[in-house]
Amino acid sequence: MAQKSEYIQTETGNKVSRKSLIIGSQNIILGGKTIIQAECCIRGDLRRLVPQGQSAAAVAIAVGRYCFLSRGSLLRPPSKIYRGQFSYYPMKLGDHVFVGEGSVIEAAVIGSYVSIGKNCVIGKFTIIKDCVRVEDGTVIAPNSVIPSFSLVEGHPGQVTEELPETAAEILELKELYKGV
Amino acid sequence: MAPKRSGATSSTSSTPLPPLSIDPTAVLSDAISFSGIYPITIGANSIIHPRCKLNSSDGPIIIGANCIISEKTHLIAPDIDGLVLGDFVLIEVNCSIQAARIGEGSSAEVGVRLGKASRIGNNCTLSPLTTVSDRDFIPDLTVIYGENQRRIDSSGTGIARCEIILAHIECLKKLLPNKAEKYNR
Amino acid sequence: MSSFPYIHISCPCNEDRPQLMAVDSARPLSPTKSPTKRDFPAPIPSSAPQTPSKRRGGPMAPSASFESTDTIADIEDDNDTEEDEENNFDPRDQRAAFSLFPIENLLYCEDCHQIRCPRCVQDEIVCWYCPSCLFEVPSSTVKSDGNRCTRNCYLCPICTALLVVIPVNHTSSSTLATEQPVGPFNLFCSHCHWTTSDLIPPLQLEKPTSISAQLAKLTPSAQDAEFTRLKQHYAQQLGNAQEDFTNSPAALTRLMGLYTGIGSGGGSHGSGMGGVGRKGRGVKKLEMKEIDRLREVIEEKELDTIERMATLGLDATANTKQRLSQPHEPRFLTEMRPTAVLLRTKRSKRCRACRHILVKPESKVQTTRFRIRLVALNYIPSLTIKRLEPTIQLTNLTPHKTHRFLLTVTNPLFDPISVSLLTPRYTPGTEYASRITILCPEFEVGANTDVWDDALMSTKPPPPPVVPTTPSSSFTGAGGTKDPRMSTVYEQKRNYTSVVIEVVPPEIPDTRETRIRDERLLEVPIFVRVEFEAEVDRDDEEGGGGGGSAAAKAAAAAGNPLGREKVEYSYWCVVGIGRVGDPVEGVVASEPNTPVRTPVGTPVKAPRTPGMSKTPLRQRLARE
Repeated sequence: MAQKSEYIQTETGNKVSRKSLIIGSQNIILGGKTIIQAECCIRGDLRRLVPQGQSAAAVAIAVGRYCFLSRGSLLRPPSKIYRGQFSYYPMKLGDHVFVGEGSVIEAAVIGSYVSIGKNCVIGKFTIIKDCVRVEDGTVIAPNSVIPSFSLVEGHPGQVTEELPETAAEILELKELYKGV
Repeated sequence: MAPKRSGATSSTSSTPLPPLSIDPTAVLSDAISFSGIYPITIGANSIIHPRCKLNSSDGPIIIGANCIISEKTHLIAPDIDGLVLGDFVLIEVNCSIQAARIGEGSSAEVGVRLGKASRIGNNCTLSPLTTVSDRDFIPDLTVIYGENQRRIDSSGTGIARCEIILAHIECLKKLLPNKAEKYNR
Repeated sequence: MSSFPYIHISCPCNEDRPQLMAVDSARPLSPTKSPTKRDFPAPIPSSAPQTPSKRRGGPMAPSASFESTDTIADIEDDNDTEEDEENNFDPRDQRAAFSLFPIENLLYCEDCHQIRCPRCVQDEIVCWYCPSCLFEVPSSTVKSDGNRCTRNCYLCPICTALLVVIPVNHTSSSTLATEQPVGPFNLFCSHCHWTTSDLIPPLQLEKPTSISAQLAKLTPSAQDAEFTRLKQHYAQQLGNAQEDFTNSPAALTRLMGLYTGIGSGGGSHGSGMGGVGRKGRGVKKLEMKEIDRLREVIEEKELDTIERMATLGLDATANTKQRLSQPHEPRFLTEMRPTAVLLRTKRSKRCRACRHILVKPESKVQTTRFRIRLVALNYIPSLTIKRLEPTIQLTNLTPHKTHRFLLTVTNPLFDPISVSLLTPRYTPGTEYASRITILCPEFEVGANTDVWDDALMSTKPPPPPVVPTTPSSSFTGAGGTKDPRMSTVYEQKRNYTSVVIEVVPPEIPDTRETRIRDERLLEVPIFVRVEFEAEVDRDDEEGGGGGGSAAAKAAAAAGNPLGREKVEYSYWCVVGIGRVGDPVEGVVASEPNTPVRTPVGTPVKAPRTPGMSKTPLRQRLARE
C-alpha cells in the first residue's frame, strides 16, 4: 500500500507523515497513537524563553494519545507579552483531539475528546475543555474559554448548543487510528 | 493569478533566485521560497518564518523594518508597482497577500486573504480569515472583524502594539536560527 | 440540516400506541411503570386518528397523493392494504420531527424499558457555573444577583468575544517589566479592538480587579434602576409570602390573583374581573400601585435621537442582535455596555414517566464524569449506512437507478441479538415514493465484548480471526456484477452485521410545490425489531449502566443458560439517504420486480408478542 510508506511510525505508535513539517522536535511530546498527516506543521521551536541561569523549559507542545492532525493543520504555541517580557508559552492537547484540515491552533490547553473542524482558527491562549466540538470555519477569539459539552461556531466563535452525554463516545478517535 | 511553481525552496534549487536585498539584521528561517525576477527587499530587524513563499514574478516586493511574516504565508507582488509592506507589519500564518500596500503598524491575522492590488492603510487589524477583495482600499485604523464587519479602532493601542512587535522580534531572534546568508549568494 | 446520510431514531413519545416499544410478555411491564400518553407533551391529542390523510395534515397535502400511492401499492401487491400503510412510520409527518433524534441524543430508561428523548425527560439543575471563569456560582447568589457572572467575565458588546483588562495610558514596556501596571484601565476586546473608552462618556476602571463591582457603580442605567425598583416593590408587597411562594397552592393563587389584578388594569384591581372573585383575604392587601406606569415618550428626546442617527450615519447604530443583547436596548454603539457572561448549568435528567434519574453529572464544574448515565447508545443497537458504490452522489441520486447502500447494525449488548429490519416497500407520505428493498432483513448480530477486545488491541496487533474479509476488497466487485453476499449478510464481525439495502428513487419534477414540500429529500423509515436472551435477574445489576456491569454480564452469559428469558423490543428509525437529482438520459423506469434481488418480503415472521396486535409493515405479506 502506498499509504504505508507515507508515515513514519514511532515506538509509541505515533504515525507521522514524511511530508509534515515538525520544527523543534526535541520540544514536542506525542503521547502515542497520534496521527500527523501531510503538510501539517508543528512549531516546537517556539518554546518558552526563561531568564538566564535557569534551565530552558523543555516542552513547547504536548499532544496526548489518539490525536489526529489532518492535512495542512498547524500547531503553534501561543505568545504574549507579560510584564515587559515577550515569550511563547507551552501548548497542551489532551487525548482524542481531532484537528481538521487547514486549522490553525494557538490554544493554551485543549482537553480530551475535542473535535475541531476544517479551516478553524483557535486564538491565542484559548482554553478548550473536554468534550467540545468546533464547527468548520470557526474563529475562536484569543483568551476564550470553551466549557465542556459545547458546540462552538461562528466568527468569533460562540457556544450555540450543548452536546449530549454521549459526547465522549461520539468524539473518540480509536477507530480513526485503526483506519490509517 | 496562481503563483508560479518555480520551486526555489532553498539555495540548492537550480532556478535562479530573484535579486535579494536583505538587511543584515533581518532573520530569515530555513525553507523560504523565493521566486520571480523582480527584486525583493527585506528591511532591518524583519523576521521571516519557515515555509513562506515570496513571488516577485510580476513586480518587486519591499518589506519594511520590524516586520514579522509567519509560516505558510504567500506574498505575491500583484503588478509592476509591486507589494510594499510598511514598518511594524505583522502577518500571521496561512495568509495570502497580493496587496499593493500594507501600511505601517497593520496586522493581518491567521488566514487573511488580500486581493490583488488591494491597499491596506496604517494600523489596521484584519481578524482571522478576513478576505479583502481586489483593489479594495481599507482606510487607516480599520478593524475588520466577524463576518467582514468593519469598525474604526480608537483604542489607541497602536504604540503598544509596535512595542509588542519589537519584543516579539527580540524573542524570535533568540529562537529562530538565521539562515539569511544562505539566500545571500 | 444534517449532512447525508443520517439516521434518526424515533422516540416512542411520538407513538399513540404506548406499547410499541416494549418487552415481550415474558417480562411484563408493571402497569405503574408503564408510560401513558399523558406523560408526554404530545402536540396532538392522543385520540387523533391515524388515517393517512390526517397524518399528512395541512392544506398542502391533498389526500389525493395518498390515493395514488395506494394505487401503486395495490397493483404491486394486493395485500398492501391501507391498514398496513397506517402502521408505517411517516418521516414526513409533521409530528415526526419532534421525536426524531440521532441515537447519541437519546437516553434509555431501564425501569420503563423505553427510549427517552429530550422531550420526555425532566431537567433538574445540579449547579450553576460561569462558562468563562469556570467557577461555580451558588444558587443563593443566582437568586440574589441573577444569572450572570459576578466576577470579571465580560463580553464585547460589538462582537461577543471576551474582554480583557488593559491600562488606558500606555507606558513603555521597559518600565513595565517589574512594576504592576498603573490605572486607569479599559476593558479591551482583542478581536475587534473595542474598548470601554469608546463609550460616551468613556468608561474607565480604577483597578484591574473586581470589575463587576466597579461597573455597577459606574453604570447605573435607568433600566437597571427600574428593575431594582420593581424587585424591591414586589418583595415589599409580597412581604412574608415571599419565601417559597411557589410551593404552597394558596400562595400561588394569591400570586396569580396579583398578576390578574394588574392585567385587569390599574385602579380596577379587586373589583372582581372574571376569575379573580375567588381571591383569599390576603390578596386584598397586595394592591399594586403605579407599577404599570406608562412609558414616557419625550418628543425632544426622540427628535434628538433621529438627528443623531442622521448625523452619525448607519455605522454608528447598533444592529438588532447587538441591541437585543443589552438590557437597555441602545440605539447607538457608543451606548453599548460590556455584557456579563451568562451562567451555564449542569443538569440531571429524570424520566418523566417513572421519575427515575437517567443522567446525573458529578457536581464539580470541571469534571465531565457522570454518576448515572443511561444513554440509548448502550442499550439499543445502532444503525449506520454507507454507500456500497463510491460513485453514488448522496445529494444527487439518479431517478430509476438502483442505489445500493450498506446498512450496519451494531450491538451494544453483551448478549447476541437477532434483528429484523422492516421497511415499507415505498417510502410513505409522498406522492413520489421511492422503492426500498432490504435484501436480507433478518440476521444475527454478535455480542459486544468490546471492553476485553480493546484492552487486548491496545497492546497487540488485531488478532487474525477478527478480520475475515476487508470491506475495501469487496467494493471493487460489488459494482454491477452479482455478488453472492448481496442477498445474504454482506459482512459480519464481532458485534456488527451489515446488509444491503436497495433504493430506487422516482423521477420528481422540479416544481414550486415539490420544492416547498421538499419532495426530493429521500428519507426511508426502517422498523428495527430486536430479540435476545437475557438473564432473568438482570434487573439486579442493571444499575451500573452500560460499562460498569460489563464483567458481571459477561460472566453471567458464560454461566448457566437456564435462567435466561427472551426479550424483544422494537423501534422506528429514519434514514436520511440523500436528495434525488434530475433524471439522467438512458436511465428509465424498469419493471419493479426485474432487478437483481431476492423475492420481495423475504420471510419476515410475524412478531411473537401476542400483545402486539398492530404489527407494522409486511407482516401480511410474510404470511403468504
